[in-house]
Amino acid sequence: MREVAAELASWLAAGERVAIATVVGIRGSAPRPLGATLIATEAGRIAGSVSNGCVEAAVFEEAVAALRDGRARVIRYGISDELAFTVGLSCGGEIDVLVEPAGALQAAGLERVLADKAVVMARAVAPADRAGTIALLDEDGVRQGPSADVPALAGEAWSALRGGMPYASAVRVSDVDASVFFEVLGRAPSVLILGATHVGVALARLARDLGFRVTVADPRTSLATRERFPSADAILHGWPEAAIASARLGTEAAVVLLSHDPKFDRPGLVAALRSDAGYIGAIGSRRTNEERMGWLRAEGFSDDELRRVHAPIGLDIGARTAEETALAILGEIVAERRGRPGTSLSARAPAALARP
Amino acid sequence: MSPNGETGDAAFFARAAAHASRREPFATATVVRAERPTSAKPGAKAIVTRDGALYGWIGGSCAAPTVVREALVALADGEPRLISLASGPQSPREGVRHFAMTCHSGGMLEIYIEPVLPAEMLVVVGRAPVARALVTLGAALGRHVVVAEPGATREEFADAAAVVASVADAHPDERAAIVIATRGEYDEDAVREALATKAGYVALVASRTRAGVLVEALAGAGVPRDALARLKYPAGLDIGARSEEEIALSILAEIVQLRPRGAAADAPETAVDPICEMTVAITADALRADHEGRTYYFCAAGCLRTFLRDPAAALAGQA
Repeated sequence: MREVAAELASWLAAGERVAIATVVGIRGSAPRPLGATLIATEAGRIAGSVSNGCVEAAVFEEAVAALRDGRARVIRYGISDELAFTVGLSCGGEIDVLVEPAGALQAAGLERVLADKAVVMARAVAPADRAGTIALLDEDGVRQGPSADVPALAGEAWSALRGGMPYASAVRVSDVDASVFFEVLGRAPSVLILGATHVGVALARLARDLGFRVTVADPRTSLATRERFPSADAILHGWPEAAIASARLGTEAAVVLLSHDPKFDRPGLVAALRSDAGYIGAIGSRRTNEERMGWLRAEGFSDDELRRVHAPIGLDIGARTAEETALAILGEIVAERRGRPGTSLSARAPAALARP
Repeated sequence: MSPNGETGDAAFFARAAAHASRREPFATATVVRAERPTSAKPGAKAIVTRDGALYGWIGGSCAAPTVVREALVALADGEPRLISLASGPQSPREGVRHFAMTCHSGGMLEIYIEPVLPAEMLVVVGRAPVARALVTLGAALGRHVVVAEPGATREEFADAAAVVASVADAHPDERAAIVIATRGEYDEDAVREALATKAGYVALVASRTRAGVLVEALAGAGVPRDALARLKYPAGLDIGARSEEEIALSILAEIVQLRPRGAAADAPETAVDPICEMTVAITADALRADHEGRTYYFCAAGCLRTFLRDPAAALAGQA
């Protein structure tokens, strides 16, 4: 829903009735991920996509039907090889799409998204007569919706929120075994760059292209300029502690220390380790890092806490230029969030095909 | 004077800019230290092209042949180097290559030689969202991005350096990477075409299953297995990428990691000047003389003249 939040907000504000279609199940390979959203009005306005054009026309018809009869529905679409070929999609997949009229609960979810608050939408997928969004839970623990007080549902929603990943689960709701899709609408991922260095310039640009909110902080006003960081969402002229304190860092946030200077590094690392940031990385050689770790241990941080610090920073891809270093850092931030190793995908190709 | 008549910093920078704009590799040679007597002073600089031509002044015939040879080696291996030329014995220093200056002028020169290679090419096939993200991020990474897609326009791919109709039209070299992100349209042809080039990295954006089917189809159609083994699939590093931009990031990270290598010039063939015993690169404009069915190469006109005066005596070491 995040990807169509702006359109949804403006259409609802204009008093239009809007249907929301969400990908709630995938078998095989599908063109769009779980949680992909399309919104449509009876008048024919459409935003977002559930299949990159493959089944959009059929979904639009269901959206209009849902707006007319006021009922939610789940439709399964097979993306046949033939169809996939004609529209240029990866073949062989099957997707389940929940189509429902937007109501108060959707508006409440949208409100959280626009306020950059993490929220989970619990969307019942089966049985068919119970389909539709039945609860939401936000990062402050606020619950809303007809099934918000079902303890099992709240528990699942909470773990989806913590894990940051959408998933489906069987939950007993009102004496019925329901299949529920938990859609996680996290806060936009962000990068706080401490140190307006030349790697920082490259990182700010690439991170923005990847959809991160980018904040650059450096007390040296001659370095942290709009000219050097044209795409940054915010530029702060302050010390690391102040920048971290004002940034409200959650697990979706990455803190990257690029200064090469203990004067900035040390207070920055201490503040980052005391925050909830999901990723902390610090530039520097192995030796610099050993000194750093020794110092942080002396400050009272445990080895478990220090394991949060990625240093030397970035995936080990042999980066040489500032841009390549920035790429290595972003690769590590994504890999860390998804719990992946960052090794080559093709290395796992079947032996029979990999053989020369 | 330079053998090619160009001296001065303005000519040096103009030539460097001209080669760079044509994506031609070249090497710069800069005198960083001199012990008199030498004819070149610190700051003197020259450009060596991949065919071994030298433009500028970094010392006369005592130094130039060695500089040309080392510049060609630098273009071949891609590494900068610091060389020291002296007529007397030199005590070895780490990171410095020592060469004899055989023309007895008595001085010493230290020359920094740096290969200047064009940005690596990234060829993107397709116009799917992943292809678009590869173009944007590849350009931000400093790659020379070429979109190979029939019917594509510059307007459609504003970040691309060039838009061509096919992979072959991009002329990828060994340092190039080709990523096929067509989402199933004509990707068999694109893979076949990409594998026929010298590109050091060829990858297909597809699920393991679909890529496997495609590879088997190509093998069945007669594409050799060892050619198909070059194809990377699924493309990229395992970072759990979900969005198109993240997929592009994972692929670019893999390209950086594998860093396809390729020589910007062939390492030069060399010969020993029979008069001064200097090793000279055999380039198109190298000084040469034929004698009794053999070709001899010379560092400079002086040695050549000495040889031609009495080749037999010269070869007997009595010149």
